[in-house]
Amino acid sequence: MFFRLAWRSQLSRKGSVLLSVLAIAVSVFVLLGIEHIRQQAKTSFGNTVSGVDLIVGARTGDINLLLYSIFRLGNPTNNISWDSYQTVINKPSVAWAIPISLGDSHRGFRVMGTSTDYFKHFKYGQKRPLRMAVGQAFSSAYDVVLGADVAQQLGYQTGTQITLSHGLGGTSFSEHKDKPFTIVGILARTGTPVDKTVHVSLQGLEAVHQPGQLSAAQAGQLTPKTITAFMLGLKAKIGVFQLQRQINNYRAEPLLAILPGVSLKQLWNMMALMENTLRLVSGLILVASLLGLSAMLLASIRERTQEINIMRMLGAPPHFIFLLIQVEALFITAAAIALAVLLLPLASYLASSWMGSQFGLNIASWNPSQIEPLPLLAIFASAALISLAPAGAAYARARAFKSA
Amino acid sequence: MAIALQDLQFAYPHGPTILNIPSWTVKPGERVFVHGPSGSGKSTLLKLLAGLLPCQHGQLQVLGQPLQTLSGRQRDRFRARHIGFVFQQLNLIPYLSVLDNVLLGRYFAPPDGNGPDAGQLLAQLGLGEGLYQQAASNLSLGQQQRVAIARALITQPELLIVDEPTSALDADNRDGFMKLLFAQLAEGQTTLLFVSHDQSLNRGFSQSVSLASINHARAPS
Repeated sequence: MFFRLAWRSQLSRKGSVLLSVLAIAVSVFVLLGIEHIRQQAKTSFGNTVSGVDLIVGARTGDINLLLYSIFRLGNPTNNISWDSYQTVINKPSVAWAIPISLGDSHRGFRVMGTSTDYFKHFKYGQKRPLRMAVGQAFSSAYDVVLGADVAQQLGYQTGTQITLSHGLGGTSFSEHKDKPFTIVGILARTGTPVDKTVHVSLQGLEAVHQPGQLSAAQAGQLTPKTITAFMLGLKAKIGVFQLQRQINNYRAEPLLAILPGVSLKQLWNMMALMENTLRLVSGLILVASLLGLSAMLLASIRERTQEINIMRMLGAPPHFIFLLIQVEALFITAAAIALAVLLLPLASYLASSWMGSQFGLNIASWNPSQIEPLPLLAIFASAALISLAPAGAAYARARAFKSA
Repeated sequence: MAIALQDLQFAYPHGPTILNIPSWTVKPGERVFVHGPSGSGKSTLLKLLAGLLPCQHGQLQVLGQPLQTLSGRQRDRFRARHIGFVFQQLNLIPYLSVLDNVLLGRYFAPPDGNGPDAGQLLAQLGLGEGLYQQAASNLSLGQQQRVAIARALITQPELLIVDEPTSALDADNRDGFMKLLFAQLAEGQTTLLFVSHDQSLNRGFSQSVSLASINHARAPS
């Protein structure tokens, strides 16, 4: 009977109840959505690179180097010479090296020149290696290997010929039309920026920047003069700081070596402020919507005086009236949470591709099973706390038995 | 005694004394008509008898229970179990169905044995099954007052308090209401306290009391 009373009472005030549900649903939606993006972004960030001991590039900020070498965000400040690259990778402690050369694009996707060592040694997530979904790594200068998203979004298959454009961006004025590349492989999806990268050999990249026609065999003989950066794996982890110091003190050219894990953490710490701001704002939005609920209920108490009096006449103790208002507030909150939970998967699905292309973040769709009890409990607790005001007013009215 | 007042005095905070009743008793099973002009303290007396207001001074026995010794919660339970109410208009919770309104009368009383059947009560009051699921607000005032009688009687109260129940009804409905009320009480031992300013209703009662004759507080001028 108690819940029927609460339920019927709300049905009798559909309009204001519905608006309150909507207001709270929006705020819960924002709260859970931001929490989801935060967690996904963190995971996505941390999973971008693994098993790489050092990243080396021209001297710049740690985070800048990390962003352009791993996340394909921003622009490299400077290139480094092939000689410096050779000097570093010939050090005895180096086990393997992956050169990276950036600067070209294909229909908005960045082109990365590298060597086949990339497919052998680059790891992401929990030390997972790259895997070919179709085809194999490039072997000739004019071969290209696509990331999963590139192939999917542009509808490419192995055997298709594509051309590279100079510079970044979807429409370039300088296309390397005379030297088409053939797609020989497509990588399996990784959920990292690799999916949005077009991979070619350093020789191929060198060739498109040479005037005149070059056969694949001729191109294969080219040696790049510069590269953008390179990743290093060491034989023994213990040597990593020593090598980092050696590289940073390299005389012939200003170089910077970073530990990817450390720089990822720095990057994430930089975001902490934004993260906390977003959390604060979403918390405040929730409080605002709950205050609105409280105001709605408080206004309804006045018109419900008669009803409260009837219940008191029938022997309802004042705390019964108090609980009735509290339960109504929690009803509305629960309905709002349900609505938000219904909307979130759809919205996160729509947002994930945008987040991916804009920020290189891999955001999975929100799944209702990932609801954590703690935020929900916090929402209910705040609702209960804030509706103390109308419930208290009803209690006082019930106790005093004021006539209408 | 159904009601026994001794030296009862009452004033609202910062207000004048409204009630000052040296002595008044009602025997069990009596039908008492209390009349007096508005502002004479009728509602206050009823609230005291029902335990809705705490007794500040004097002794207030209802159905043998000294209310001044009970806590607020105990008075609420006592009211739920032993006292039935029918008052002016707006007696029902508008958004609840007729049946739920009647059942709400039993909800706050501790469950004991088998009380009267809600359907049977409604039928005796001339309310058909077709009305059970109607929202109370859809009923006419006359029908609403009959539902209110059913709700008051569902706990088989020893004391039934009826406060100006006919003020919103026309003459026909008023007579019908009085008839039904007395018919319902005919066989039981329920004590009836009927309060009205309308002395023309004063028929069929065993005692008729002017509140002014027992209340020695000076009416506020």
